[in-house]
Amino acid sequence: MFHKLLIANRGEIACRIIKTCRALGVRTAAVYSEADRDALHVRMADESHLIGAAPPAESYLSIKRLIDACRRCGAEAVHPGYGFLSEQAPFAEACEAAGLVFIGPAPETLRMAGDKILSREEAERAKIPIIPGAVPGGDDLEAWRAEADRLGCPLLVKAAAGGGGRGMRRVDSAEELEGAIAAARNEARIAFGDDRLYLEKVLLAARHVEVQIFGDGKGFAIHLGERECSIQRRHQKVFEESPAPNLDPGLREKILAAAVRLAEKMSYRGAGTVEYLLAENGDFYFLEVNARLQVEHPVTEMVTGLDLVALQLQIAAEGKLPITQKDVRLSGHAVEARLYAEDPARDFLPQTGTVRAVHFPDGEGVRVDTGVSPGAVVGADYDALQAKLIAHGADRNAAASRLADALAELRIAGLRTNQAFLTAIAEHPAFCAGNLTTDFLEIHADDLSGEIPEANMEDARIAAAFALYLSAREGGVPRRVRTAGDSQPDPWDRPGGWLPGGAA
Amino acid sequence: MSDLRFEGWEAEISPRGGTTYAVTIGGRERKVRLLSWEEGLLSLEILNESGSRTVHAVAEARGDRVEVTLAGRRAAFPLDADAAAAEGGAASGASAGPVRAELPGRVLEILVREGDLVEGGQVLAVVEAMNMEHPVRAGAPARVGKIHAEVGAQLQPGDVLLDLLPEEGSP
Repeated sequence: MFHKLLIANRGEIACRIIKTCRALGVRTAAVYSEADRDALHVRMADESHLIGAAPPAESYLSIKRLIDACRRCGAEAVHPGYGFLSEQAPFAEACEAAGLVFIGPAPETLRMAGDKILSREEAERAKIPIIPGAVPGGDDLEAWRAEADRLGCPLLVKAAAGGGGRGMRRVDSAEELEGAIAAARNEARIAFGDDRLYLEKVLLAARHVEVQIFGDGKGFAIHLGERECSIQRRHQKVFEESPAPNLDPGLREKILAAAVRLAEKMSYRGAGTVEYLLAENGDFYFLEVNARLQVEHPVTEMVTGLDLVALQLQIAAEGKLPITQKDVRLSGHAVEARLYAEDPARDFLPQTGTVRAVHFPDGEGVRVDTGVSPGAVVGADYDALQAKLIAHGADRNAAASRLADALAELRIAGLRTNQAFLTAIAEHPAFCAGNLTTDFLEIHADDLSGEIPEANMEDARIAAAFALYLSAREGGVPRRVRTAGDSQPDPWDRPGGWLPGGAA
Repeated sequence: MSDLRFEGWEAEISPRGGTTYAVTIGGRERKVRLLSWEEGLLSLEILNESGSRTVHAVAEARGDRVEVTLAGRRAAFPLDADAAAAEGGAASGASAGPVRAELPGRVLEILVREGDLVEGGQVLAVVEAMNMEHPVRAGAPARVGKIHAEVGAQLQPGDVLLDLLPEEGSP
């Protein structure tokens, strides 16, 4: 095993990786930007290194600064977490060139997974159904029109270099096609420096289900079951769970086997995820390969009892899988909710602020992965994800009920979050019944305001009155009274956030 | 004794010695014990005829309102004095003028063209900030003026995305 690992990330995932390293006796080196001097991951690591200014391009996305930090501290390996450079082949190559072990797939795997046209072809070769689509190529509008006619609307124009819902345009009628191609091409050129596009049919009432895979990099792979991730808002997952509820056992076997087949064909190394869309009629389609540890990996950990980061490190250190398929046993059910700094009451506007106080739930079967502690400053430079609440139970009802309790117990002051939205989802009858499709949040939008119900309104009014009373009366009350009475205008405190007429 | 005026309701809190207070809302008085109050986290024991219940909440005064989180759910209670002004401001400021970025973000999509007539609530553009997509909406009916930013542009707070012009003829 490695003596020292550098974590090229921040926030909850950096903290989560440190926990496993401690258990394995691996020393950890954190990196941080000027905005993260006091961040939890810096305090948790054995050592830490300043790598630059707050904007990601000058710190967490700077390959040069990360490699320099590794050299400075003598790390042998780098864990990229998710996001940032985790799926960037040039980073994996730079690590290898510097004699560092990159905890992740080979650079060529990252390139293939990052190119959605190549991934589709690879999936086809592994005999996995792909979503009906076409790659007309070039600017021949007639060829695009012919393919669009053949496939039929609604369609998506997608960027080859996109993925995770980025770089795509929906086409609902033939006359929208030309504009969508132009817009998507422009956007893809700017965002990815690669303007290749393809067409894909939109699947309605589909489910998003994915399979966790691990490969040894030499053609052997296993799966760790599936995750249901249909509850999404604007391509961001909000709830995930394992196993997928109400999934036909035959279909489940097929998607698990197909994921392992693809991983073996690719000689996949380390942790990865094969994403699928499941159609209403029982058909399944390959969506993409995520060549990294996923945000939602804890639900898999809770049902398998395995530590996925430990598996990643063991594969990287020893060059082989420490377990076989029959060592993977699923027990019970786990559900995760993602706490984002965003305000559902204002169109989900991302929120910044300083966390003044926080109480995380700690009930039976509950796990919280977070990078937040009291005093944490949440700025606009980084991801809005602040914490993941994960609950495990003997069955889905038990897990969902524990998650709802955990959401009710969570208290965070100083930063607006989507907590009330999450609570409303966890308590929604359709969620409790396991009726999940990717349009869940649109269908049920009217039920998800997360308003305090009338039965609790008197308590809420008493609490509001006390907050005002105590704020106005510093000192003379039990415990500390500080800035609650702060009546300075909140800079984000406008009805829409991004609003016409706003003062500069 | 203290009068606390919210929009549509009032509360009165009087100390009753130690950590106990009398709280009157809507003519109904309750005895409440203040268990803890720390940086916005508030714990109360509300006494009634047959016993008591404990309430753990987040309660924060934010500008013109108090926001409360209770059992994972949320409510906002506007303050009486500022309520009218805040409402008027939102209604009049939203119809026309430059649409500015309030967070650093990247323009993902612009869904309108110069000269378009837009309705209140219509999505004008989609901006990505903190890795989240956020729709930018028109506050009221308006005509789209000059579009200043293009897709892919990185905006800083205060940068103008596009102009909205007042639309006289709209209902």
